[in-house]
Amino acid sequence: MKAMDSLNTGTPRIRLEGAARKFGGHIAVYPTDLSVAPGEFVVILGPSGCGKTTTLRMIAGLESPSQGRVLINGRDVTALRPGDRDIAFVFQMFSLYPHLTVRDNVAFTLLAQGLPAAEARRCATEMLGRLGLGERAESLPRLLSGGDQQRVALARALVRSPQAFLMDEPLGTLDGELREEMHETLRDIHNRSGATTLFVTHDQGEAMRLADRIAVMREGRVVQFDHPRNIYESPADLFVAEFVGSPGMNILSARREGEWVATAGLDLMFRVAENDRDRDAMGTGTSSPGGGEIRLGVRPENVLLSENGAPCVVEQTQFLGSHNILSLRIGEAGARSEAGARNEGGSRSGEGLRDGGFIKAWIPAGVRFAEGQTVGVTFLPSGCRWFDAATGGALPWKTLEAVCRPMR
Amino acid sequence: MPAYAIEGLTVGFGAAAAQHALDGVWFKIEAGEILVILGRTGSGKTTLLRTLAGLQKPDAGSIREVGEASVDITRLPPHARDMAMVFQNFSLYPHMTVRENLCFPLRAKALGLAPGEIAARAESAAAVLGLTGLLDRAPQALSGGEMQRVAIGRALVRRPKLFLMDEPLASLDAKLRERMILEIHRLQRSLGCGMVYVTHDHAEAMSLADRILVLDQGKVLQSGPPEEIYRRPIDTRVARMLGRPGINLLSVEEAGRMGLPLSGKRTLGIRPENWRVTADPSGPAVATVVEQLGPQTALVLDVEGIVLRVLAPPASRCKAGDRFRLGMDPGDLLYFDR
Repeated sequence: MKAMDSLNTGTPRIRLEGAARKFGGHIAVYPTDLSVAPGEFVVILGPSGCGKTTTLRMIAGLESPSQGRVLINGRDVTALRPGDRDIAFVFQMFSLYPHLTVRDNVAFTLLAQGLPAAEARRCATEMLGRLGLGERAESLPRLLSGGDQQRVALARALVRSPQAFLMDEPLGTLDGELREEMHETLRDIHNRSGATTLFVTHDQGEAMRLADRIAVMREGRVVQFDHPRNIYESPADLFVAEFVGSPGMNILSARREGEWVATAGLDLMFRVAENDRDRDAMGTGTSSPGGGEIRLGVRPENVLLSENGAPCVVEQTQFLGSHNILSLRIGEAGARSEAGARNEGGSRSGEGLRDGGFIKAWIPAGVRFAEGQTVGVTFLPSGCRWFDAATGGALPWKTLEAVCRPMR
Repeated sequence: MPAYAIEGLTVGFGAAAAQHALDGVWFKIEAGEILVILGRTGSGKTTLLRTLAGLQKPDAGSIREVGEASVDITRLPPHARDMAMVFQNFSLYPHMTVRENLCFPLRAKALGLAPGEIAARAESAAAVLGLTGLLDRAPQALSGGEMQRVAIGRALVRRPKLFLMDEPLASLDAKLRERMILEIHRLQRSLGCGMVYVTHDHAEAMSLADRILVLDQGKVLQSGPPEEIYRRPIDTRVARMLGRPGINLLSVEEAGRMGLPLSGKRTLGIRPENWRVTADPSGPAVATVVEQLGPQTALVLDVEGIVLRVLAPPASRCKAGDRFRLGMDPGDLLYFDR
């Protein structure tokens, strides 16, 4: 990570300067600044319709920005055609030449760049081998499974040495096992070739696995751009908190009472200090909420089961092999707010808990709880994150202490 | 609620067919359980579900409903089986409100239900699924999750003996899928009827299932509770289908180089979380990739050319280039014949 930071001081490989895109009256992407350093693997992450593909297409030259500029290696390419930008683009929907063998599909890109035929075929063969397609080199594309065809499309992009690879959900159609293999292969090829990669996905797990840095987008704006660990541990707002992680952060309504904050539906109280120097230095937000409404976010692994905790009922245990996820139904107040929320439907940010009335806890495999059993719950103070309910933004508060409040 | 016995079910398995066919499938659906059929694309899992529903005729084999008596239902038409199916692409009638969509399956003359009874059932299903406030909306005004709940509601109102679910959550986003898994589980438990749930997603399968049935190329590879399938997979195909990161499979030669006993078997399997890693600057394993998978750290280690996937405990901080010693509990090693 340190190495990456020092790279950032040079000329960015890709740079957006206030680039925005409007379609009629609809703003797909608001003015956006974004820099990708040479050698960096950046993932743009967001739900469908957030503007991530439009952003990528502006860099590729497949969409013109309505305003702002696109720079590649410091050169303004805003007016250049896609073919003149020296980038390789991999789409979710790929198209191979049906009458060419797999090898020739890959070699064709290099031939088009003027490489001698023998050299082009040698490079193609090598890349196919690295993607596990060595035995398929002489096949015609239509004889391959969908997953293999997608890997050929990847090989065709990766065999070049462009300024940057732009990938739009290139693994979208692959099954789980193959996806995992492809993550390893992609990251490996990226590392060895020193390439710069910009990768778009809606899958937060994929983003966490692949990225040096993640740009989280929502409704046409980049809401956080940081290393995966920081995104995970210190989300900039409620949307990121819930979107990143599997399951996402638990979000609870909370109420300030002096230097203490009490959660709704769960008898826990937290003593907080308003200025956490670490968090403030990151500039994550203002120190006090405008409207006074507060949300507490806590990751499932920071939910601790303890005899002295607030009582919850085990609704379900999800066995996931290396660990379990417990769904815990919170107290009566929580159950009430759940009934209210269920009729609202939808999943607006900040309603995570009230939507379900549950908190999720991460527990090691082998630890067992029966459905219907009552357990005590408390939160690790250093794992508590505070948000302004009105704006959704993170508050730079430090949690000093968590105590269980006796039932009234 | 009855159980079901599926005996030697064969569909389209001849010279012409390969994908999506069934080749002599035997299994039981216990009364009131969630049985998840897990398989890759083309494994035959949807064909199996359609055959259970009566939408596809088997070439051989039988389906028996086992209640107080045992009844062969192989030749019964779909509507006479008292099963309800939910598809991946929820098809709601666009010109009907949510309420009308829920009532529609109950209006069939053969059911002979009074209008009052139909309305009552639709409202009770809506309450269970949190759709009460949406009853008079048109499907177009609903979110994806709400539409899928209506689709489940349409299956629910019929109060069937068996629910059949064909990847019902595949088109939903991750957060919604998490919520719906919990909701489907809760619903099934409160209704007490059996459910057969088809998916290719291992996490969904493990989360939801009382038992998993692993299907591959039209054959049952293994069935059992999720933990049993995860801890004691019958072969390497099953072992690879469950768990992310995936299981490490070592050949005779690789196991030999790592000094691990193979006792005459062909392949040695070790789950990523079963390695014990200890930081050691002179250790044989070098981290080539370090990924934060939420609370766990996923490492790719290189041990003299052997690539291993390892899950380190939460909160361990390490970086690419760090060296480790490796250990494991011999009880966690899995041995395979091929």
